[in-house]
Amino acid sequence: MTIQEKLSVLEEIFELEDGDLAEEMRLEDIDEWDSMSKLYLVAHVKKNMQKKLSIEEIENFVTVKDICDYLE
Amino acid sequence: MDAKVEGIAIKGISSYVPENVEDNMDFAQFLGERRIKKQIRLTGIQKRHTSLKGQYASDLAAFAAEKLIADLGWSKDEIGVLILVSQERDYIIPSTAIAMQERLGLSKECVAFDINLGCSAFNYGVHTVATFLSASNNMKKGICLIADSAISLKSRRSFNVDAISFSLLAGSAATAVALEKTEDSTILFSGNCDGSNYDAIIRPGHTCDTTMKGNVVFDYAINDVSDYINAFKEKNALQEDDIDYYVFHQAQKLIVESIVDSCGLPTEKVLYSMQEYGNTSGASVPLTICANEQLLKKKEKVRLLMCGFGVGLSCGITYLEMETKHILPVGETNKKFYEEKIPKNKLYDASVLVFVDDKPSIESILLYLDDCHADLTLCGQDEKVLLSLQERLQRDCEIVSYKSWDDLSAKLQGDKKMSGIVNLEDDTIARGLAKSELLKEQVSVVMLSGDKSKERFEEIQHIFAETNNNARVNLVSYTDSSMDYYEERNGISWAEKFIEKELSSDMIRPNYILTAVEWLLNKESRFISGSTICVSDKPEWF
Repeated sequence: MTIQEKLSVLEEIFELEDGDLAEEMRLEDIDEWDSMSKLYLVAHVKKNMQKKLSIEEIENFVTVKDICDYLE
Repeated sequence: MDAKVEGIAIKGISSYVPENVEDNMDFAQFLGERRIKKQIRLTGIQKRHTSLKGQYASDLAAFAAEKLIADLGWSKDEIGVLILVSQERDYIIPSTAIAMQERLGLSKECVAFDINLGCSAFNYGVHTVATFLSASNNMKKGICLIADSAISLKSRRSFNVDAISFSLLAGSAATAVALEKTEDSTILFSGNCDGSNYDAIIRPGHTCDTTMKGNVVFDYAINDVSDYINAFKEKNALQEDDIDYYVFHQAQKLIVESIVDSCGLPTEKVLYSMQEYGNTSGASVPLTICANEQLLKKKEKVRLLMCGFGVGLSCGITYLEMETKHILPVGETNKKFYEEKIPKNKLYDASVLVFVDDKPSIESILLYLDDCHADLTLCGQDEKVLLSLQERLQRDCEIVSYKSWDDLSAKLQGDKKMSGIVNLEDDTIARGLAKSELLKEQVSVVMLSGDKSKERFEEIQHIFAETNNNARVNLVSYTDSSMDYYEERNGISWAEKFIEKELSSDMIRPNYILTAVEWLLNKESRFISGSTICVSDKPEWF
C-alpha cells in the first residue's frame, strides 16, 4: 500500500474525512484515537494482514507514521 | 475438553427480557452524537432491555421456564434436573436454582444447583444437564436456565467510571432450555478456559461494579476463539453442509464479525440479536435463537453450531440438531415472578427521620436511602417540597410538615420508633427528640455539614449527651460544591450528569457521602459515636 492508501484506511478507521490525517500527527492529539478505534485497527490487521496486533504494540504507536509503518 | 452426549436433545427454548428499553442514542447528548454513533456502528448495539429496580434475573428465568413447560405440555413432576447458570444469582448462599425448584412447583426429586458462568453459560449449562440426564436411569427431562441482568443506567445512583462503557453494551435476558432423552440424537461439546486472564472481566466484591479489560477480551475473542471454532469443526469433521446456522455470543458486532471473518464462515448463516437486545451475557446465544424463531421455523429441524466466549475467560462450543417447533418468540415483562420474603439490605428495618432543608445533598441522600429500603419519614417546613420529594421515591414514605417542636411531636406520635435521624440542625427539635419516646435505643443521629464549622455538631452532641445517653451522634462533613452534581435540573439525572461531565473523578466523592450516611445508620457502626467522617480534599478543616 502507498502512504496515501494507508492514510485512507486509517481515516476510515478513525471516521475522519479524506485528508484529515498526516503522517507526523501525534496519536494522543487525535480525539478519534479511542478504544473503539484501537479495536477496529486490531480487527483490520487480523482480517487484511492475517497478523495479530497486540495491545502492547498499539500502545507503542506514537505517531500516525508508526501505524503506517506497521501496515503492509 | 471435548465431549459427546448421545441420546439427549434440546426440545425447546424460551426467552424473556424486561419490557424496559434503553436506546443508546439517548446518551448522544452526553457522550456526543458522533461518539455514540460510532459506538453503535461498531458494536452493533442500538437498544438494550434493562431491568428496573426489584426485578431479578431469576424472575425473568422463571417466566421463561413457565412458558416453556406449558408450551411443551410437560408435567412438572417429570423434570429431574434444574440448573441456573448466572452471575446475578439471588443469594450468595444458597443456590438460587434450589429456591426456584419451589417457585416453579417442581418435585423434590428434581436436583437443582447454580453454575457461575457468563458469556459461555449456554454451552456449559446444556452440557451439564445433558450429562446428568444421560447418566440417570429414572429421569428423562431437565431444564437449563441462563439468566443475567443489567440494571437500567438511569436508575443507578452511584457509579464507577469503568462501568459506563460496559453499561452501554449490556442488556438483561433470561432463557430456559428444555432437554429430554431422545433416541438418535447427539450433542457435541468442547470447552476451554484461560485462568491467566481471570481478571479480564471481574467483579471482585459484592458491592463492586464489574470492570472489563476490553482489549484483552477482544484479543481472546478474535484470536483464540476463532482457533477453537476451526479446531472444533476439524475434530468433528463438520463440513459447511452440516451446519444450518451459527449462533455466537452477542459480545458486540465488531467481535462477532471478526470471528466470522477469521473462520471464513458464510455471513448469511450467522444469526444476530444484539441490535435489539445488546450483550446479554450467557443468555445471548439462546436469546438469539428465540429472536430468529420465525426464520428457524422455516425448517422442522435445524443444525446449529453455537459458541459462547468471554468472562472467565471461558469458551464453550456446542453442535447439535434440534426441532424448531418449541422455539418460542422472545417475551417481555417488567414484572416480578416471586415476591422476595427475605430482607437483603442492611437498612431494611431501619426507620429513619430525615429533616429536609435546602442542602444540596438532601435529595440524593433520600434517593439513596430509598434504594437501601430504609423506611423513611420526611420532615420539613415546606409541605410542597416534601410532596415533590415523596413523589420521587420508589417506596412509600411518610411526610410531616411542621412549624414547631410541639407540632412535630404531635404529628409523629404513633407506634413507629425511629432508629435513625438524618440532618438534625435545630436545637429545640433536638432537645425535644432526645427526651421523647419516639426514638429507639441507640438511635443513630447523622449530621451533615456543608462548608460550616463543627460547632453545630458539638452542640447537638451535647444535647443528646445530657438527656439521651444511648443515642450516638456522628457527622458527615463535606463541601457543598462536591454535591452540586447531584442536583437534578431540568430533569437531568445524576447518571446523565455524570456522563456529561466526562466521568469526572470529582463526582465519585458524592458516592462516599451517601455510603457514609448509610453506614452510620446501619448496625455495623453501632459502636461509633462522636466521630466525623470527612469526605473532602481539604484536611485543614480539622
